[in-house]
Amino acid sequence: MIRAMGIAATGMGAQQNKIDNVANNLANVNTAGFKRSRVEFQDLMYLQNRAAGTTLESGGQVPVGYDQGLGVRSGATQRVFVQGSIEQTDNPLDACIEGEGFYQVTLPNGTTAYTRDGSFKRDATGNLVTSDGYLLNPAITIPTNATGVTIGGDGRVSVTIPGQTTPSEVGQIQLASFANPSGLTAVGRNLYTESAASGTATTGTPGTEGRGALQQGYLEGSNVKVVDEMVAMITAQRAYEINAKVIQGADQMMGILGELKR
Amino acid sequence: MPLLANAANTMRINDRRLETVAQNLANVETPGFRRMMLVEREQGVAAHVVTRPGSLTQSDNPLDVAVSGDAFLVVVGADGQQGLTRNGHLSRGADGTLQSGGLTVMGEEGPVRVARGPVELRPDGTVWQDDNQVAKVRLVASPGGARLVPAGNGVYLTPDALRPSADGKLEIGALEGANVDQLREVTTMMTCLRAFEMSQKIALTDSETRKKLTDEVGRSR
Repeated sequence: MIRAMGIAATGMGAQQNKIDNVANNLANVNTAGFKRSRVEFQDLMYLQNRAAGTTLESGGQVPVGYDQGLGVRSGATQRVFVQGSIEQTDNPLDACIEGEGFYQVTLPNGTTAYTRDGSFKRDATGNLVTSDGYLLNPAITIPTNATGVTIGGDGRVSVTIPGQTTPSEVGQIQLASFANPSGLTAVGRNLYTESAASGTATTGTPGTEGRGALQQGYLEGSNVKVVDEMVAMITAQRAYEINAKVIQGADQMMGILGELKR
Repeated sequence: MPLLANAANTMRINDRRLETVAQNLANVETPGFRRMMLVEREQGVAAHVVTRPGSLTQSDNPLDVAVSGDAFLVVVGADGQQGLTRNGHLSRGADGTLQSGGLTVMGEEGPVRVARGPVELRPDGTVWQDDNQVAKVRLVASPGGARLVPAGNGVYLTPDALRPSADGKLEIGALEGANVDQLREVTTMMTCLRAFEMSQKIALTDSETRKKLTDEVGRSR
């Protein structure tokens, strides 16, 4: 029954992780470009007390073994990269990705991070930056005297300059895609970095090779569904409770054992 | 002392039964987990895997599949060992393979590999990208609960040869949970506790009788 207690404790720990994860998803329900994550449970290894197929003293074989499981663990928190809700903002520097792909931004230390948050701003020199001031890569500079900015579905950025009849192109936004986006490392601030599990980034034009097209004037909200999170919270809470009951049961059994010797 | 030995044996079995209940309840939310059932046999206890299907939940993830029918997915680990699983929570590996719980999902012709971009799975197990069929997920018939050995991580091993499934299908955008019935587990836990308590009472009575035997009947006057 000591083992039953340990097994039930793994169950309580796993459900605790699930609640923590629900809390993080709900806290980010209004974060632009946020992708919800999900805790994945796996059963732990089994103890083979009696292996099936071993020969008994009687000469027969054990038809079914006795395998005792040792509980559960949270194997991974997987990010679910389904499209979030699209919200109209009418801000010309907002652009959402309709489909797969990530914007590339340059971090202050020179490395590249990836984001789905397309709420861009202009810095003092006219460069397109994220809300945290990180430069978009490849860099796109909007001339200070430009009156209108257009971001095309294929990522081309054109500006209207007073006195010129045709808009001039100042650059093209490139998107990165990954073999396994769920393997990206979330580093906070809506940013992800490449990991061994994600595979290396391939960059290209939006709207090609499975990458989504850009939509100017719209932002991608989070893909958190409040109802689903509430349901997850309730089931996790109940599972936590029932595992606690097992610990109580095992405790009662030990009490009974203690009374055996008077 | 058969009475005492019997009581001790019942207590031992019920201890193990409680461990099985704990294992089942700890995995009540593990996708594709199959509950274990303890069976008493003449040569001791045995643990069966119960293959009854678990409940389905809808998910909007295109890589979530639930296996319907008496069938299993085949996965292969880095060591080349093949196992069976009902965990249809699939993801893409960095090497482009489709994975379940970190293990590569097998197709009819070797591991299932997909290119970048959207992937569509269909109920017959075929995998499509840009209107081209790129693979077909291998579904095998269940060898039966008594022939399955749990290996952890949602994987089950079997000594039998794998046969193609007759009725195996995939439900796309759904996940199969564990087949643990909480009510049944709690009831089992209660009967365990009572049986344990009763055996303890039997053991106590037996030891008291014995005490009387030595103290009173055997007293020399």
